[in-house]
Amino acid sequence: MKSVIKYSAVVVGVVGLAYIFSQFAGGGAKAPGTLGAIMAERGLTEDDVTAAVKTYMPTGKHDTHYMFASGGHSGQIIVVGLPSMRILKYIAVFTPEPWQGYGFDDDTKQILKDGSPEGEVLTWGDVHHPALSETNAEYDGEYLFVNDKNSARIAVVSLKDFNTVQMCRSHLLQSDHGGCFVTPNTEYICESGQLAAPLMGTYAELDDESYKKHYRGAAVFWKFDRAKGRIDKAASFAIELPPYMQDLADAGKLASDGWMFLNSFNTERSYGTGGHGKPPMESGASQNDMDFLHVINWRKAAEVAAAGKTTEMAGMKVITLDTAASEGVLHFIPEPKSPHGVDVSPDGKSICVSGKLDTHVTVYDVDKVKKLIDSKTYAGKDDYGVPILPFKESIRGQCQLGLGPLHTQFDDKGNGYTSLFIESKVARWSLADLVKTGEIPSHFNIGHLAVAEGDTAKPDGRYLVALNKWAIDRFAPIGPLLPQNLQLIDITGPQMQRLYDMPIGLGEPHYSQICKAERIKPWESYPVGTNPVTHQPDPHAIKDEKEARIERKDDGVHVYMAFMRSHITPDVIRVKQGETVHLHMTSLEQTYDATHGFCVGAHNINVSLEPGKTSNVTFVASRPGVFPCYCSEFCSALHLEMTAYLLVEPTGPATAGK
Amino acid sequence: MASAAVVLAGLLAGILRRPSPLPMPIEAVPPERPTGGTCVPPGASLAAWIDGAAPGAVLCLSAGEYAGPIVIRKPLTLWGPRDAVVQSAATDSTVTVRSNGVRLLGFTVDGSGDRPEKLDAAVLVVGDDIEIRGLRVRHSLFGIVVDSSSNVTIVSNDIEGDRNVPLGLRGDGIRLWETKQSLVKGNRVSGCRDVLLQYSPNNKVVDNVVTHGRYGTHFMYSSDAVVRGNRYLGNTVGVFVMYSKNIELTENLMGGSVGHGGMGIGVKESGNLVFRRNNVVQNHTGIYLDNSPFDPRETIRTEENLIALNQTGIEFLASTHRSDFRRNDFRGNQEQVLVDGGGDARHVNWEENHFDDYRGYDLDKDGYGDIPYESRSYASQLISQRPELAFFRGSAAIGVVEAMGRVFPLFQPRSILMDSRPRMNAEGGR
Repeated sequence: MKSVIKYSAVVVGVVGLAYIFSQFAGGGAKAPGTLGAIMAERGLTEDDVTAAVKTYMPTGKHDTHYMFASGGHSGQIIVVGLPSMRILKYIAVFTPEPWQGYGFDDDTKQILKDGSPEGEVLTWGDVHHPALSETNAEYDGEYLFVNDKNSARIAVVSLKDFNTVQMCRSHLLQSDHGGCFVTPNTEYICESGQLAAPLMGTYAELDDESYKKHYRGAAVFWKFDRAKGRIDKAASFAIELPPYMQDLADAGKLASDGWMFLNSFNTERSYGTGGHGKPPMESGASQNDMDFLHVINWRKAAEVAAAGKTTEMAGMKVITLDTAASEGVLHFIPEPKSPHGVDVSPDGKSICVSGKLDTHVTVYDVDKVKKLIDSKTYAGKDDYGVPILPFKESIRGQCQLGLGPLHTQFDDKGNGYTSLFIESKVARWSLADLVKTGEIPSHFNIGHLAVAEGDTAKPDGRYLVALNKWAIDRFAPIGPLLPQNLQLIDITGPQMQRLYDMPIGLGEPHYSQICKAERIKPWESYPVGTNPVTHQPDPHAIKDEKEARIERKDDGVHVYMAFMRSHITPDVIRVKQGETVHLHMTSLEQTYDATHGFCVGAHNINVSLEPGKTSNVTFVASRPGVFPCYCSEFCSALHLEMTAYLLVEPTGPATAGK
Repeated sequence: MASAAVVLAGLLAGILRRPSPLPMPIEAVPPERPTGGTCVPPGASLAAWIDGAAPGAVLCLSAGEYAGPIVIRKPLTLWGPRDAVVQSAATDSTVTVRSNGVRLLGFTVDGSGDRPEKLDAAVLVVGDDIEIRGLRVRHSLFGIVVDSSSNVTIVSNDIEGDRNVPLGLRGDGIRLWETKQSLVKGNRVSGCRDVLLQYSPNNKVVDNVVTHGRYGTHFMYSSDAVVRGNRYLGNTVGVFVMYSKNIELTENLMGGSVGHGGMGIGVKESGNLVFRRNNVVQNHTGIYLDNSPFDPRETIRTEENLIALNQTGIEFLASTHRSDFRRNDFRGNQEQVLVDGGGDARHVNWEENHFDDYRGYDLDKDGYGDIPYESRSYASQLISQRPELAFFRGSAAIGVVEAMGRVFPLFQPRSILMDSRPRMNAEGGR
């Protein structure tokens, strides 16, 4: 009876809807410009139209959410406004980016150097997992951390100016993946290794015995000094891990506060053929049916590190595997093989893991896990002496979702959302009942997904973004290299609705976080003379055009420059060939968006001078000649006239310009 | 509702009543006692007998219990009647073979350890030229696990898992990893998780019955296979082919795959496949093609299959190219063909298929419709955008949408596919 009523309601509803739209489509179809005519002309359904309306931003209106998406190979972070899916900024992190002057001035060059191995400056990164700083397990909108999988380093981005302010490399690892994930009050930023290698970049043979003995992973816990807004390397520590190829991680919160959960996918310890006929890596790493979920008690680990039970490696305090096992810092639980996401529910009670080849999400129960640890109920130990907790006793249950579940986030109504990689869908399921309640198709090979604030203690539940790996035929063709793409999905209603497809033509966005816009309060300008990396007064800044000058010191020519529209002071810089030149450039502007730039002809020099900012550039004037310089960011009607000259006088026999 | 169930049951019964050339494997004659064997009395230490046996020896068990676990490290034949039981000690794999040239015949293996991370199995094999015939496997986590082996014959075994254990917590019935030139034939696998071939090329999977599991047979990077005469019933997926090529699926039954992601045949990024004379019946999705054929040099041929009573007969996800659909019967599917993401299937080759919703005629009586079959579905378009509407398939509401769509052109209905020479009568399947 109930279903009859339901059916009737649906019939009436559908007929009504059809009638309403027929008024547009039929009655108004001939009147050009009406909704009905546009729909007819473009072949749009009502679903298309509501999607368009839900994402449209009238001019001047701000988006309600920020998404911070990893820029993949671009080495950058992409800032996107939701729901319009407009790109607001690429934040340069691991790759020099001329518009922002990133990697062109002395301070940001130093950032790249800080994140590089000895003797080389890396100029690209494989950006994977941005993580917003948290207070009480909610985003606080102050900082963003992100890792470079390829070179195992992390960066700190300030959301006051959306700029990279620090980069750290432990020099223990050669690659990382389980980063960045922050503890509930950003006490630590977790970065764990992925492809196992001897720690500290040392050499060891690649065979069974050597792999087992010398190859390792590690989880680095970077201490974040909130007052300074920077990582305190000296207060950071690491935990040595077996070479199981650690994958993603998540910090516990509330019920699981003090814990960190970390996946692995190669407990087989396969390393490929080794050049001696072993099965290839992808086969070898899937021989077993289970890998190990790493359960790390980070609070205890911090105590162990503080008590000095560490070994120093590459300047980092390291808790060895033996110590981690004996001090109860590290436990393993079997998990379905080749998992990707490990995701802590908003209340911190459930840990959701899904094996990429499984059809379920497996939900571990934090209380059960803690009890098993407290009572030392082990199913055994691994080859490195780490206790293994029994699988079935650790879980609350499993929820069958579909093929290839990969990554889970949550909404504010008790639902989990899991990407189904193999089926190319998003599944919605009830966290309490472990029952699937809906699904929506995505583009091809969905990887991660992001739900607004969906990995915090208080998910927002408005939007979901699917991060799809393949585009194939979904966009106008552009040759063999295709964009990855993001799809915005409205998850507020009982039925999910796809709203917007956004190709990303710049690297592969692996992971993203979505934050309510109200949490982020960026500066409009810097106080005059601010160094954008330290956020402190720059020692070379000037406050007034009258302080602009050229000084010759022991270490070369110092040029103190002022930028105020539309004039560069001094506008002639005379140096001798071979002299070291130090440009100290300060924008005296305080007007929002009155940004200048400065570039030197035929030189690798370009900086961005936002209002109040001071940038320093050091270079050797090795080529004689006259080099026009100009403001490289449009600033006023006389922007074209905002120029200067660099004259480099030859020291040898004159070649030109007597 | 009731009448629909009767029609459905009738159709299914009709399909299943077709004469089958295949023997039911469970009725297979148990392997005969080999001649010249040495008797191992029940209760004896089987492990000690095996250690003491000369390579090539034949050991015969009698009705009764034998303590496991046992490890065989030399060529050996171990035979027993069905009621000779090798009992697990609830740890490790119960019968482990680490040698070439071993034969396990006829007896029962009861139980195994329960550590999924260690692949605890009733029978674990690492070796070449192995024969596992007529075993009965009960109460184990994994059934038969074969690692890094070749020329392994797994025939007429009866492997039963516990259907009360949630799917995700079960082990695989049969699992081949890095295993080649092997035969999986006439086994009955019930209530286990998967029959899995991983990185295992050049194998044959024939005449098995796999029921109530997850993947009836799952090919993962396992090419050059033959899958013939199997019956897959009540699994999440009948056969899933992933990242593999050169596979022939002929004369199988894939039915009752109705759960989440349920499909008779699923294909992801694979190619050079032939699906011929299969019965793909009463699944959520009959055949699902995801980005397949994958390589431009590959094709997929789907011929003479019966595709019936599925919610969706064939679902394409960017796979609408280099495929032939010839002489298939589409009957009683709520949606014959669904194309995800707004495309159509007009660029695959539809030839001489029978569609039970064909509204044309055959005036010249040549057995083929005189006008093309063309699928233009309003509902399909809606459902591909809103999968939850699939719930209303066949309901009045969707009917109204279809009707309203024709009266008031809300949106231009897409042409999903065209078969220019549809057959009037059905004759697909086996």
